[in-house]
Amino acid sequence: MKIRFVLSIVLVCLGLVAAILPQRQNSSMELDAKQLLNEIQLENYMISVDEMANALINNDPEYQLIDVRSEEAFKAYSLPGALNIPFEKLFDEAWAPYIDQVARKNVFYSNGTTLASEVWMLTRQKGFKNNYILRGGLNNWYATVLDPKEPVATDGEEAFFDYRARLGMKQFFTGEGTPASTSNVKAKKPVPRRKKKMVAGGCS
Amino acid sequence: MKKPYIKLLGLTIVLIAAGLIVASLKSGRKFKFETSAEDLHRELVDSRFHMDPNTAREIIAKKNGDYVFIDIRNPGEYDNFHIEGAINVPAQRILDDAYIPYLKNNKKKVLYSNESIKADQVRVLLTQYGYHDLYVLQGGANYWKENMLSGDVFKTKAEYDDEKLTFDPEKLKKAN
Repeated sequence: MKIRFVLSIVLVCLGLVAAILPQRQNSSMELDAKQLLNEIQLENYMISVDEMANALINNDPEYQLIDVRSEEAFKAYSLPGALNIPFEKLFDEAWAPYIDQVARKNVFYSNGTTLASEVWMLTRQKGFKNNYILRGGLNNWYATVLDPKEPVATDGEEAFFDYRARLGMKQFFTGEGTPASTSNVKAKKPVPRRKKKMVAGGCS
Repeated sequence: MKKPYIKLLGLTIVLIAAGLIVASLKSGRKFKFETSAEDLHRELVDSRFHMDPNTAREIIAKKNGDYVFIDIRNPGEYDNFHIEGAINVPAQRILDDAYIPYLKNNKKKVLYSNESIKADQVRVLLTQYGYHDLYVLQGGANYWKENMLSGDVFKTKAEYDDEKLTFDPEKLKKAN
């Protein structure tokens, strides 16, 4: 009888250990606070409006824009091809396949950066990957892509090169003017653009 | 002879198992999130925990002891300029044990960075980690330096909202 008793305890304990060990392995998928703090500092989850504009112009299927503002705001103005997941509905069952996936780069955007950044923080806490933030949101999109300001002479050649590129973007997205006629900028020889670093994965 | 041996074996296994369980709980718990993403999401839908610069300046002018301002920038930036009475807890070290007393207390803690985004992220992180009563100063140190150091504390209206649309979408539609 005693042997059976001891054996049963041993089995129960082994079972407990077995139940706990694989759980620890899986938890490497999820982040803890320290890991998320380190991720915040890296800022490689930020996508610039220039990068996003180029992706849209090139019809890059890798990017999926997600508008996290209200339905009304989305209807009033949204970026091309964007999906609307209002902040309030972030964790609704219906959106799970969109925010927890491995196929595409989700780019969250709002009017500024704050709301999109909070959405990103919540999805990272859940361990979801491939989520990014449009830096500066729609306000930055407007200021940079839809209404670029002409640089002044002291800004350097790269600023003029960026400006000409943005005039091209503006034409693409608004159909207004042509870059050649609206621009009286004399940038003698465009400095070769620094090669953009590929955005690293959201999670290692 | 046989029985004590088995008992000893059983006891050893039980102890090892208990040890493993404790070890796994401890190693996993250290920086575990206390508030679930779903709970935090519901909280954020109700309130965004933002503090506008004007309210912040009134609190400082009245020397309201219920609040403490926490500068999460690096010490160099803090030394260069910080909001009156603010303490410095650099973001990258905010989870260090040494700072627990500054974050785990009954005061209302107002975080700020150069702008608002980093402070907002750190606020979300600390709330996920289980801390409470955390707010984010809108506009951060940059807006403060430019707009809050002059003018009447109780009369001037300073508003900052990162999420306010700065262009008119209707005009944009007409242009097309």
